[in-house]
Amino acid sequence: MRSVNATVIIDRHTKMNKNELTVELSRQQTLRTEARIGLTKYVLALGAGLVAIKLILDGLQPLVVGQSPEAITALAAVIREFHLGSALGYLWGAGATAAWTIERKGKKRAIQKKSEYQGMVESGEPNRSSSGLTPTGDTPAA
Amino acid sequence: MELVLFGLGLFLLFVTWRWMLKPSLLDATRDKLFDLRESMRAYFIGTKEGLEHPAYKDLRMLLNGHLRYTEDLSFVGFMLTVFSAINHREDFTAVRDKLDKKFNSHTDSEETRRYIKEVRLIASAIMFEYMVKTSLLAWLFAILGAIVTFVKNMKKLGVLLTSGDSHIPWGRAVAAMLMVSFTTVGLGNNATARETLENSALHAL
Repeated sequence: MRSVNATVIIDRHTKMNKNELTVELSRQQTLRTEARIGLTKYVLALGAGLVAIKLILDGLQPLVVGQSPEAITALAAVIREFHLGSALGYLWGAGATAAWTIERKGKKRAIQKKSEYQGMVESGEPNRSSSGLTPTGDTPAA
Repeated sequence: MELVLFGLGLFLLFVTWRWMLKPSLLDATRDKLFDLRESMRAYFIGTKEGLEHPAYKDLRMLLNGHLRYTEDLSFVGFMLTVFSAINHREDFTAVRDKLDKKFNSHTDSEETRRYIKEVRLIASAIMFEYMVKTSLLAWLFAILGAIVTFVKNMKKLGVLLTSGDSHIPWGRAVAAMLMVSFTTVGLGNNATARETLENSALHAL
């Protein structure tokens, strides 16, 4: 929920007609339902994440229990499954992620600079209003 | 061991979607909205009233609302609001008409009115596109709708394919198909959808 001044909300509501009040009521109900669905989605995603981590840890467990025959068999299984093609795939993923991170930092820097210059150009303009986003173009923390 | 790799793959897929692809889509959408705001500012500078024009003030507020609301926009929320609008059609129509009237009251010029309408439509379309791109449910819905639309319009498509036109803009055709499929079931870029998106945007600031 946005942190909106309570006075503004009251002021907004007192100026509403019947239709606007119905629409506003419906909007608030929608927001509540959306929040409940959002929470469910969050819990499900968290559960899926935990299952994924458990799968990884369960599979890796035999590798870290010592030099037992089971550990050697497990290590052999990893090597057998981890084909050269897969290794290249993971390397490609890591490279693409690194490139994306560098580009993103550059983009955020460009947005910040643009925001500064735009502020200079538009300062003093009539009817100028801001989106309220951060200088890097992100949604501000609630 | 396959399970380990499967788990790792799932985890990486989730990380890529949540912290890489989705933020990039969000930024790309906001870039489009900022560009629209810039072009709108340039348009009003060219008018007689310039940036003192009341329509500029309201349109800028609306676009700022869209910019601020983009990240919170969800397909589920949109659907819930559209269904609510269908249940309270009279109230939603009255509010929409009031907003339309407010925008139209700013000018007597038909050209400026057309321009205002165009900016509002483009802004809603940008938001709609982001919403569909970032929701698996919306994709499933759009694909199902597209199949229905495809079957319904097979005859027309056959004419298009046999017309001898070698240059068919497939990218645009697919996007249009998705929009048509949404509109078919009342969720497209029609007045209700625009009103839904604008109502949320105007409450975001």
